[in-house]
Amino acid sequence: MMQTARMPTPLLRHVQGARMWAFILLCVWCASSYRVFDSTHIYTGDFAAFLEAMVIQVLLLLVWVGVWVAVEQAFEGYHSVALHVCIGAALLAADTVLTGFLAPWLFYALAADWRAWISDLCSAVLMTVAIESELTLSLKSRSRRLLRRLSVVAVLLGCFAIYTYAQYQRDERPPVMSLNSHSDAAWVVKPDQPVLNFLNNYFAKKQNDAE
Amino acid sequence: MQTPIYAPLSLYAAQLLRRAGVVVGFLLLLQAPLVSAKTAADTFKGASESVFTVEIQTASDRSRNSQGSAFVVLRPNLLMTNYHVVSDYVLDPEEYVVVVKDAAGEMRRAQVRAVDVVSDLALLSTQEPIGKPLRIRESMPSKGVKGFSLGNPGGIGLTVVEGNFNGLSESAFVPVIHFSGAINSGMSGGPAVDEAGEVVGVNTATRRGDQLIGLLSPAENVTRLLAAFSDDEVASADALRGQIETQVAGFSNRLAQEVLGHKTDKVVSGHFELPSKFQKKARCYGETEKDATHRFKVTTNYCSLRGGIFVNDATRVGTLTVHHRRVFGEALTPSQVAAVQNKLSESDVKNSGASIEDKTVWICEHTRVELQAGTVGELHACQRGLTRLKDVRDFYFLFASRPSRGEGLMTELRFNGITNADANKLVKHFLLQITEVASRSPS
Repeated sequence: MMQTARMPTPLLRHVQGARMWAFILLCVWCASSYRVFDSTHIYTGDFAAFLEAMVIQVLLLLVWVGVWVAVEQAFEGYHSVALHVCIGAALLAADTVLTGFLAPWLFYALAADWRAWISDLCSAVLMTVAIESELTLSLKSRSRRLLRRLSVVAVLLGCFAIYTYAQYQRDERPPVMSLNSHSDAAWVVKPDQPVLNFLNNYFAKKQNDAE
Repeated sequence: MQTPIYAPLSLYAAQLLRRAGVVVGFLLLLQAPLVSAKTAADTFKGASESVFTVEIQTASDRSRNSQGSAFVVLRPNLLMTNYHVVSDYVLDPEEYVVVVKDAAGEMRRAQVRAVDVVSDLALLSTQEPIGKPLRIRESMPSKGVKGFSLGNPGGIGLTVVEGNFNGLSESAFVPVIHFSGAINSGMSGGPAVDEAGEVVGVNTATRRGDQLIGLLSPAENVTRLLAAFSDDEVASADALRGQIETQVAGFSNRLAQEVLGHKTDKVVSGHFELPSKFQKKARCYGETEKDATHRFKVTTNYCSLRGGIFVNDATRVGTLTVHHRRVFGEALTPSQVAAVQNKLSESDVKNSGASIEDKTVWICEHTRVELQAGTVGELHACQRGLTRLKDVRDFYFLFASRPSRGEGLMTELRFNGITNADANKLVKHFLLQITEVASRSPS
């Protein structure tokens, strides 16, 4: 039996490789998305809506990967698809976990007013981190360090502009209520206030506004 | 044996009387429609001097905006009509003018002198005398008494419609007379008179989807508005809007007092005891709907005080609604109950007020609250302003109970055009009556 001169690749290198991480993160994203869906789905049409949302996110991931491949190819002369899939999948997975599980819980743990914008904040921070990671990993030349730093500021400003605009648009529409959209454990985090306390404050405030 | 002579004579007399009775009855039957037709014709003839068409025209090019009817009262230059006929002018006097048109088509400018938005009445005046005042009847006619409604339906000309008065409506919070007759669009503001030609009420509305259910503002409202009217001063636009503000706020207060003073009926739904019929005029219904998957059901208990006050096409104030929905299904997890609650609430705020014209945006707050010991949930409190009325607002409250395994409650309260103080009392009144009647399974 002949043995080639090529040394066998250690399994560890595969595990640590970008492809393996991309695969793992895609699995985490799919599993967490399904978990969020499964905990609340009840209507027949919900599964179709879930699939539609997943397809849209897959398309977004492909666009994300395509853009960064093009940028990397243009500036560095080579590209790594797995790396960009890895970062994109990590972004989607983290967003699902944060907005699907953690944000509703934090809403009760911290303050009531947080819920309106905590999901947007989480998404904005994640997007910023993901783009900065892409810039750092894709544009390695020292000469582009300034470009990367400037881009962080631009990305942060851009994210906040988009979310502020989205918030403004939301104020123009009738409010969308999200009822009891928190984990069951959240109920024990913050004690319930007597309804009369809330209403007395509510109407006192409205009276002051009117005056 | 001799037959007594009186027997056949009496028999003959009796037969004669019967025949005479039949003939008289037959003649009376023939006569009845003739008498009715004559009375209607007389009514029409007499009314032509007293009933006019009212048009709201644009100030810029005098094109017609809306049309109704009016009748002369008290003095030859005073006319009574509905507030809703002239509401566009009252709220935007720079944009519109009021014109009174007689049967010959001659037009005269008119001024709005006083309004009663609660009774939907407005008093107009013209520069010169234009007609003969109708007398106002002081008492309510018995049910079934014949009457005639007059007006100009659809602008096709002065018309008389025969019908019957049927007393006050039993379902309207603001008293209105039920008139069984064909009141049509354009007759609003015209008089409904009895056979003596005295005004019993003012044509105000018809019930949509029903036939021949006409609603009249009672004549006593006309008398009251005339008594409060001062001929010395011409009401400015600001003064008229001030009258509306005061009347709407007063109505809100009266509504709140009526509800708070009434012992609210309760219904038991699952583990909850809920406030239901909150006022004797409130209309309530209930139903249970199955989900298509048969995994859960939704029981609804809905009560509302219908009608309210018309301010303009976009704004109706003084309405109250209490709407409970209980979601239940043995296999539902708390998260699934919450999902159903969310689904049910999706369109709630969007539907609370058909139009956003003349209204500010909704502003909402929410928090977790405890109603009674152990009855906890989220309370969403929303309100929006009415740009035409500064003293009242629309309020929307949604209480969603903490979902337990297999059950969850949603209670929705809508108060349209209510003062801040009254909304405060009403929401506490309803929410504090929500109780749990048995311990619930832990979530």
